[in-house]
Amino acid sequence: MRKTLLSMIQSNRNKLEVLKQPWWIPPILRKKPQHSFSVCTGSMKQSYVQLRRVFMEEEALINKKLPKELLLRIFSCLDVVSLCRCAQVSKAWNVLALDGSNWQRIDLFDFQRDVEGPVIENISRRCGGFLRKLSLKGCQSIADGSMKLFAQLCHNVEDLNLNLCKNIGDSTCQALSKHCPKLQRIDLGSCCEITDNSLKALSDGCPALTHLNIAWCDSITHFGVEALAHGCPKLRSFMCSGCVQLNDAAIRVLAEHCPNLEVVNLFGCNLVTDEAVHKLAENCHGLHYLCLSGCTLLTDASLIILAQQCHLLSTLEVAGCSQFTDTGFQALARSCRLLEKMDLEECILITDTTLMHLGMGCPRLEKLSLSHCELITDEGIRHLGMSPCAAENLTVLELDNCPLITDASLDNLVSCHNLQRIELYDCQLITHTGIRRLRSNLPNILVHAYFAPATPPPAVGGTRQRYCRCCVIL
Amino acid sequence: MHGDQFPAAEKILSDIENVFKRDKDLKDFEILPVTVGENKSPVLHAEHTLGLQEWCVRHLYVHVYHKLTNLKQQQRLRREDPNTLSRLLLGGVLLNPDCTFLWNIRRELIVMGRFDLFSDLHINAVTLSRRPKSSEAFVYRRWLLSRILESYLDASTTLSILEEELRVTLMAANRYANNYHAWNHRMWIMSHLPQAQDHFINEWVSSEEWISKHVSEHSGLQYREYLFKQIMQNVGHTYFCHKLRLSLENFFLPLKSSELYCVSLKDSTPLKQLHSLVIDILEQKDFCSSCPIKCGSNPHILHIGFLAYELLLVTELIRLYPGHEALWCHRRFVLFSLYSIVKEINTYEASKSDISDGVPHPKAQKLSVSDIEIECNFLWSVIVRHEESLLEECSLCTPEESYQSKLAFRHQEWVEKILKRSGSCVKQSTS
Repeated sequence: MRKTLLSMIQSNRNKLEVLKQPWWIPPILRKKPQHSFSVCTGSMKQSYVQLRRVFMEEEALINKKLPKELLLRIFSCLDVVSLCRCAQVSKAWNVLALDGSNWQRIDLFDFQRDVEGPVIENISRRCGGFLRKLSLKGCQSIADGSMKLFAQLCHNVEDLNLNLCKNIGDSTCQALSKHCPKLQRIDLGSCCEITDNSLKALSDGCPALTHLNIAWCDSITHFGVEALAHGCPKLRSFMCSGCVQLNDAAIRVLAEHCPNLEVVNLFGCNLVTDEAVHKLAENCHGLHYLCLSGCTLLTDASLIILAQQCHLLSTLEVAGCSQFTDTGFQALARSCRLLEKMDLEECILITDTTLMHLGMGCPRLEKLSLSHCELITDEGIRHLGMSPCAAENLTVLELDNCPLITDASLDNLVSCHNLQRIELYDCQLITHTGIRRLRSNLPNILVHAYFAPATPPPAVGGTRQRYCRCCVIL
Repeated sequence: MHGDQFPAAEKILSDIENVFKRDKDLKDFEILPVTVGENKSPVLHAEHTLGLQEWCVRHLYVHVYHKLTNLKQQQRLRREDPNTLSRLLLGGVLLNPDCTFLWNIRRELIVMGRFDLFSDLHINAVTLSRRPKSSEAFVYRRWLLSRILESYLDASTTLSILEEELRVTLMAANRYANNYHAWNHRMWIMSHLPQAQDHFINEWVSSEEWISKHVSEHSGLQYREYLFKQIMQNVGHTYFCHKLRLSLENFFLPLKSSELYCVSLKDSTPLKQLHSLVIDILEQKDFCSSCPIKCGSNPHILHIGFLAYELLLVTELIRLYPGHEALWCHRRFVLFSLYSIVKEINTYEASKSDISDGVPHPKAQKLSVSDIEIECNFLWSVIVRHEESLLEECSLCTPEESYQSKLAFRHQEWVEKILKRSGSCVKQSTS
């Protein structure tokens, strides 16, 4: 099996454009070799012959000095494109560079348009058990057939990224479950044909699973997630943005069976209530990333239980949770002192009090989004500006659509030395002079506002030239 | 680098995109003359109209253009995030639909299946609302439509496409005078959409109103000429005949005072039939409600009816709005069509007489026969009578209307040259 591939590669060795077209592209897609040597002058031909001898007969200095094992070790540090280049050098190098041991981690994101079924089949034949990590992100032409072959041949795969491979269905996951017990991470984001059967299969055959992404697979229901929770207790990361059918029952079972959960994303799961968050907080004390954006049913009770149980929380995204108030954030700020990133977009009830507590309680705060928090005033920003986090860590502050913010807020932010970006879209009390003053104090800051830049833009060659060059001269 | 100069560009672009997503019936795009920007979104949306304040236009376009050219140069267009790309392209084509580069990227993405054909059609229509004379936009629109038409479409979809196209072209024609591209597009639609045949008559009726409001627009008149040719190819619209009867009556009115009125022709040739039919019409005999002009019995009467209607219409327009060359050109088209009909009838007559003789004449001789016969054809004499009266009237016009008399003089020359045989009669009248 391996020999056939090898012979294919050797027969194509003289091609100059192979750099653009790596070996895994089926031969039909490749361009015909250019017979450029026939038109070369005699001396060039001679030097080519010399070169060929040097490289091909294993007389090259590098091959003499370095043992094969060492060359192989060096090759193992190269990326895909460099390996393909090396495979063009000589027979010896070809064998070494295409050795399966160099192909343990493959990322084909840069070639996503060109990758089709046969490519995956070639890769799986060549790499076999060596392959540990494969990323096919965005390779939309991949279908179940080639993935089944892949699962059979590369049974040691640990990390598989199939994000945006929209043709992938349940049978891929069933094949993976059958042949790949070592699978730890799988990303099935936006593979909309995935259903509960996939999760059941994964829970049966992949007990080592730690990371799972099923974002936007909206046919997934609580049955699938429950089966998964029973079969994969080591789960640490669970991303299910946009799985709108998931409910409290799913999250409860997940929390009870997977106490190691650290990363949970429930973006847009709008059936989820306080009960689910309660279970998560009670069982998963290691939680450090939690996204609850768009879970509109949640109330302050969620924030309070999180504050009591999850002290390691560093990122909390609660955009659109419009029932949260100052009380919840006060509790949170008091106990979760490691918070770094917070997205509070459209938490419309929060006021300056929240900002005051965040400023006092969360010294590590780096990124804070307060878009559409319409009750925020200059006073709140003043508290934030005076807090320890502001001077040290705060890098991004989003204040767009906060109508009460004025230039005074900007003056209060002067002490935030690390501030790199501030968003002020639609803050209509902010003026040009205020922004200029902020810029003069923090010269590296990027201010996002609707104001046009002071310098006129350079001319564009966009409009089609009406006259040809000679007519212009005339 | 350019993104840093105007970070709001991306935000404005996404604002524009949101308007498109929210409002599926968006019709217009306008640039508002607001030169001083506030910290407020320059994108406005009201009554299916999208407005963009002027101060950001230049910055926005520079941003879009540089970003796209950079992507193109680095050959990263295919790998760029499709959402970002569609935002950039949307802003680009709205601001400058004459840029083929932008449309070509869209084409590429359509071929790759990343953009939806119908939403692109919508964007294109909105683009045309601000720049109704953009030929690139129309070319792209035709490209889109031909792609849509490749696949199978049910009747209601085709109908809705047709209605939308007619709306868009009419809007473009109304907003920009002498919009050749719009009328050309309308012609293309009428000849390429499978259901368009049923709409020729409706179009013909509605275009009458349009041309009487836009007398100097040749493109619109040309469209009407196109419609006329199409209608002539598949005649048989009897419901139209009541209208035509009146115009035929008016058209043949000069015949009453002529000596040809009661001349009886030799035998039952088409000419003879036509003649008797005309006399029937003039004397209001045999008024039948189903088809008052009996277009079934003679194939030419319907053609002549349409042309007579058109000739009377254009005469009236020339009288009402003196000094518009487009009307005179249209008149020449009508005259030439009538001339061809007369010629056709005569050649038929000649050939028939030839066959009756048993010895076919040589071709040259036959032609000359028909040419001579044109002069004594009653239909031709009526046409000549009409031209004479119009030219006479125009020669009497006031000095302010000197252009009209110039046009009339040109017309006279044309009549003499092209429709040679009638030259003598016209000369007599004007001398």
